[in-house]
Amino acid sequence: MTAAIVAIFIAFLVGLPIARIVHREADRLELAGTAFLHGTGAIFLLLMGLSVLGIPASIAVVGVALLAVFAVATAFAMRKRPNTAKTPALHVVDILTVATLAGYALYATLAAPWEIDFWAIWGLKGRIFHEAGGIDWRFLESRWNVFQHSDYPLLVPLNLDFTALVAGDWDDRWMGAIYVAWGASLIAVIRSLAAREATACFAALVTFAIAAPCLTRFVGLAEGALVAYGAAGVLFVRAALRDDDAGSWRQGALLLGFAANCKNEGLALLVAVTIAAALCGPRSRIVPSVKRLWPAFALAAPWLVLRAFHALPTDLAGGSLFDRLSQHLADAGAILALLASRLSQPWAWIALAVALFAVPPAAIARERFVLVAMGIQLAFLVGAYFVTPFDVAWHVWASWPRLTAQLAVPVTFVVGMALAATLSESPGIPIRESPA
Amino acid sequence: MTPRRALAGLALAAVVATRVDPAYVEMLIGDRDARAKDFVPIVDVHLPQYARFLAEVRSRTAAGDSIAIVTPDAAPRELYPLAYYRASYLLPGREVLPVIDPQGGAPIPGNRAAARYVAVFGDSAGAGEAVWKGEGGALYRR
Repeated sequence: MTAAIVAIFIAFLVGLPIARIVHREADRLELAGTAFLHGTGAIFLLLMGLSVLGIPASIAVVGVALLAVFAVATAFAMRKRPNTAKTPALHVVDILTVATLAGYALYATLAAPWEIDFWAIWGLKGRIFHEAGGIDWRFLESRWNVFQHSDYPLLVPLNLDFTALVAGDWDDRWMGAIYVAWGASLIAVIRSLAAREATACFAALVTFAIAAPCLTRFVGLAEGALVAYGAAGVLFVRAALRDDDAGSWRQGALLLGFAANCKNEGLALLVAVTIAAALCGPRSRIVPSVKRLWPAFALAAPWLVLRAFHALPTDLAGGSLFDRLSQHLADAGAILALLASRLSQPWAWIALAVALFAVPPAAIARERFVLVAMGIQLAFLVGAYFVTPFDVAWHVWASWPRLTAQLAVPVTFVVGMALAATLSESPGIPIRESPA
Repeated sequence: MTPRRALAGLALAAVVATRVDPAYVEMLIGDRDARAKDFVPIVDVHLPQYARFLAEVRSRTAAGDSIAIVTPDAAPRELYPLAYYRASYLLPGREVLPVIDPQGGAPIPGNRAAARYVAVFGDSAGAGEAVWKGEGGALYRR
């Protein structure tokens, strides 16, 4: 357990000055939340970079490199003017969120990660890379190992590898702890963003409502990291569009870039957010808005190049895509009915749908960026079932509950904030039409 | 209070209530030890000795060795891919080879012949020199 906690602390420490550089106006909650996200992102980039350079990842090499990153980032952060942002006021309701987090911490660390996709995909790669001292391309390229989805990006396996490096050996017993840290980071970010627009009471209530969806039940998979990076990225871009705040743009772009390095759905999310930002941002600033997302694409690019270089296959794109699409389109009704019947937490989605009738239409219009982005992402997710090379019923059973959870955080946040604004009789903050 | 605000209040309460996850509440007030018994890899449920068997195989082989994985003849065919994935996880550094295609289910006799070792779990027939027997299986060197 000590090694897992030390690994989390190192990631947090490395990420702290980076988070400070990215958004100098960040309050303490935002800093605390984004520090771990940037830290695990930096660890991923470092370990991937060492592998590309052919340098074996020992704890000494990685430790010195992380120390250098920390020193340089701290020097840059110190040059910025002092942070004068206030810490959001807390509320007694926040205790419920902390209790949820405590319950999750017990859940995620009750045993070694037990899900099939941990020991057949994410944990397997982490362990293989740990044994090999870096990314084992021979393992990824082997035709006997296609089951572990060679094309999936490596942020999560390399961070599991980092935990093992700190421990000195692979011990999966406490690896669930890193999922607690990813979830806690997202909750801190959400609480900070909610406090920008709502009273302490409503910000705490909305955060409590989102706490459980932030904390994935799929311990050991990439969902925890993807939800943390993806949802935080989407909500920072929302804040950037509303406030025209450069720091929020940088946060959003970097976090979405790391989301694209968690799972292929993260890459789809980046595309969805880019389209939604172009469609829903101020018309005078479509190009500047999209341009501000360039760091996300820069972060996503290396893995796409590496996977193309190593010819790692993508199962959805294999074989005859159009044959499968035309075949499944004939069963569209049945597939959509199956998705509806397998919807995770249907009552929560019904409550969100009903809630949309309780807020003024103008409030819904103000949240069009997130709603459009999530709508596009939903179309991507559903579209994957229409081109899947697997049995559709099995594929839906195996993935749909996880995928809908990815959408839950941003949607619940915007609906919650619209409800809070209605209850406060606040007009909300419109997206600003700034000069180009 | 306007009807819209009353509805918004009810809606917020519903959103909050429907998002509470009972699994995390149970961790705080329930029997965690009982729940921990459910948190076991599915292969270990169906083949209880398998993880210990693979640990022994690991201790008797070296990094870089190729090992073909054979499971009980009587075991459900659907279990083989999971057993093969589990072996890949518990035998890191070794080249773990399937004798049944995990995707299609077709036998791959060439892997059994090509591997330096054959790890036979259960009552399947082995081949070559028996290096070790125990934990419900045996390890053969070819």
